[in-house]
Amino acid sequence: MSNVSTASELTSATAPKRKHRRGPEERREERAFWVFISPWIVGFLVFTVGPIVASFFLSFADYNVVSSPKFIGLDNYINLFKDKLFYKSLRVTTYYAVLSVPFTIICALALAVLLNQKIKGQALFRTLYYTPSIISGVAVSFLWSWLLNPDFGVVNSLIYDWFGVKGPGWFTSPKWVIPSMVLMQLTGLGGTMVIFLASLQTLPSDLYEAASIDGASRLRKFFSITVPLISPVILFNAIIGLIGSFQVFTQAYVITRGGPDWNSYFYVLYLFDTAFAQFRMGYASAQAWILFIIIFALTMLMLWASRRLVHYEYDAKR
Amino acid sequence: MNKFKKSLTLALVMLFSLSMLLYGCSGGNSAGGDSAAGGNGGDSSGGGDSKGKVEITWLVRTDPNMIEWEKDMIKGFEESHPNIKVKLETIPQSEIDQRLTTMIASGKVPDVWSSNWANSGFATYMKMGALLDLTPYIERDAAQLETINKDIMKIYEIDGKTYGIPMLSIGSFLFYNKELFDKANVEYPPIDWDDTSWTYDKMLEKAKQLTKDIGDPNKQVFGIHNGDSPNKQVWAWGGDFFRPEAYTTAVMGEPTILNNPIHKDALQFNVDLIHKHKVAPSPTTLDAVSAIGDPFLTGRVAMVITGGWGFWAYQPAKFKWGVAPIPYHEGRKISLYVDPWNISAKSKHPDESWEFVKYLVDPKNGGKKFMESTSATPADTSLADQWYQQIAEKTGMSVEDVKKLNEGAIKYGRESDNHLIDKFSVISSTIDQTMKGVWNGEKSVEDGLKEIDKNLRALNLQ
Repeated sequence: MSNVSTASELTSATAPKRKHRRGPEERREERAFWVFISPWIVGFLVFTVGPIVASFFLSFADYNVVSSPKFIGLDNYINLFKDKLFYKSLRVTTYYAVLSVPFTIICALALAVLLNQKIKGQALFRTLYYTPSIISGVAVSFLWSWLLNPDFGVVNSLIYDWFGVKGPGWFTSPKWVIPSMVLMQLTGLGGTMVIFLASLQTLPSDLYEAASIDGASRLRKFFSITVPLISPVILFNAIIGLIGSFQVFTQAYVITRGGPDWNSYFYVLYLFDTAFAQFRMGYASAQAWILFIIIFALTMLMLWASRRLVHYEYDAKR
Repeated sequence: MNKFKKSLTLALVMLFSLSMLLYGCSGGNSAGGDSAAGGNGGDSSGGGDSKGKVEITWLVRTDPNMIEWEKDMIKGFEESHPNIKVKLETIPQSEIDQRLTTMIASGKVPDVWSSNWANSGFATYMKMGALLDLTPYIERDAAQLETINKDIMKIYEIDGKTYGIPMLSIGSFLFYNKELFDKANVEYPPIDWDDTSWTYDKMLEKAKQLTKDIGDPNKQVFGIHNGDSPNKQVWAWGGDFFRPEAYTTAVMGEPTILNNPIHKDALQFNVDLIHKHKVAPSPTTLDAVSAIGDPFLTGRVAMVITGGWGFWAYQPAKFKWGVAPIPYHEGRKISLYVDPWNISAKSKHPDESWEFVKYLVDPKNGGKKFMESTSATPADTSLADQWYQQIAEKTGMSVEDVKKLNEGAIKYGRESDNHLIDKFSVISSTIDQTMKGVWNGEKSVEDGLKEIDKNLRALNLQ
């Protein structure tokens, strides 16, 4: 496209009239665009695409870091499907996801609705409820392991004071460990909540006014107007939440190390152990690719299953 | 457009390679910030050699007890070896495995480090081929190393090649809180390892007398806590989860968990301490109690069986404590913990690294100072007397008693399983997962052992 620039094009570079003719100004702008975006692109290539490609090839190899990788074909994948711990970790992770995704969505939405009320100190509350999300996962994990300490924790002493019963062992009980980790999500709601809050603020007030005239209750308005209108946002948050729960790692690594009796041995924790305790990088790479396929398939499934439940307002231009 | 595209590609390639370069450099420089300034350009080792100044990296685990010693070592060594610079890298033990993997993969290995200060341990790194065979150096400098205990020196000799120089050698003991013993009017346990009247039943008897106020988190005292791993509890009763070859070849092989009925007895005894006699904390209780500090130091446990690091870990105690042998049982074996200094197989400066290792273990200098600042039991025999003295002063025991205790521990000791079997961190976490259920009373010992046996066999450890 080596065109000769004309005077007219020089002056009107910012407002292109034709599609395929660009002046030097515009090209300079494009170059500037590439230069400015390059830190991101380079970072993406080096730190994301590179490792992804490398892990793909390593997943077909036997590699212990010190000696060079040995090609072993599909052995890693075949062994993985025979590995009982693989299924156990998958079950644990799925159980966590099944509990955690609805819990997070419901709590975050409830919180967003509350914070959407026009009350005094609204901004303060919003900040306050968002704050825990910016704390690092390790710190949050320590906090919760204290809160849920069976003997000295605040939660169990409150349970004892109010109901007179001894609270469960939380992280040390095989039955309670996953619910405890789901409960931990209470301090990680911020991001989901903010997205809900933003979508709640775009809702047109005329629908609510019309419903009020018809005598609809608050609850009715919420389920018949709010929920359908923000259903795409709910779907989005559910998918992001699902992806997040399949990658959960920090809590288990910091608090339980996968125990008791493998009951919090999440998929990614197993992956981490194969890579950095067993030094089987090839096997770990195969695990990572299977995880990718699982998450991809589940996301597609969710999009497909929800297509009737989600209401998109494409024709909202009026 | 073609020209533009070309220049764009060129620019991207340059940026790409620049960032790779920066990435590579930062990999070598990061985390070592605390060790002095200067040494620029030392990264490209080839150039360093020709100019005479060489930089070696010394990797240690984060330990506040050792920082002063480490700084002192570097200062002294750099003064006596002006052509060698030592860069210190301090990493928390739990992260060493992960960080080392990255370092090894990128070829920027630490030169001098201790394989047992990573969770995986010696055998794992030896098997991996990450450690340098030190035999030629040892033969050359035999005179300087001859005071190191010969038996201990052999621990890190595999197929006639020695891969590590022992710096410390710690036994296992029973530590007890004298104040709680006095309060409950219980006689102290003996100090003689050959005293066969000091049995587990005796220990249980004492534990029963010492236990009180169970259930009240602020007052409860448990008589005993056996902090040893399941395999070591079994060792102490004369059993073993693994074949003898496992410890010499570093390959776990077929586990022998179900072959010996003593395994069940040993573990059942310890389970009974928790559930039948209620004189020991369950893991749940222990976790809860540990949140406010070490259960022995906070006085929640009157007797504890653990490694000899108790000698210094229990220094901050606000009460007087004593040390006793682990109770007698036929075939008793207890764990020794011997940490070696290693040099990376991929080290670019093995000669200089060896000089540094020699400096670190020198019983008249590095080794002596190490013992003085950490109280760790030295591997060097010429330091033994001074160590007895030092521990006697700190604990209020007599020099004789300390000596007797330590010699007994060595007599009945064998090197820790996690140092000798490849990928033991995987093996031990596999055992622990099931054992947690057993300790908490959710599974019988018999079922637990069967499950462990099955899980260990399923481990794909090559």
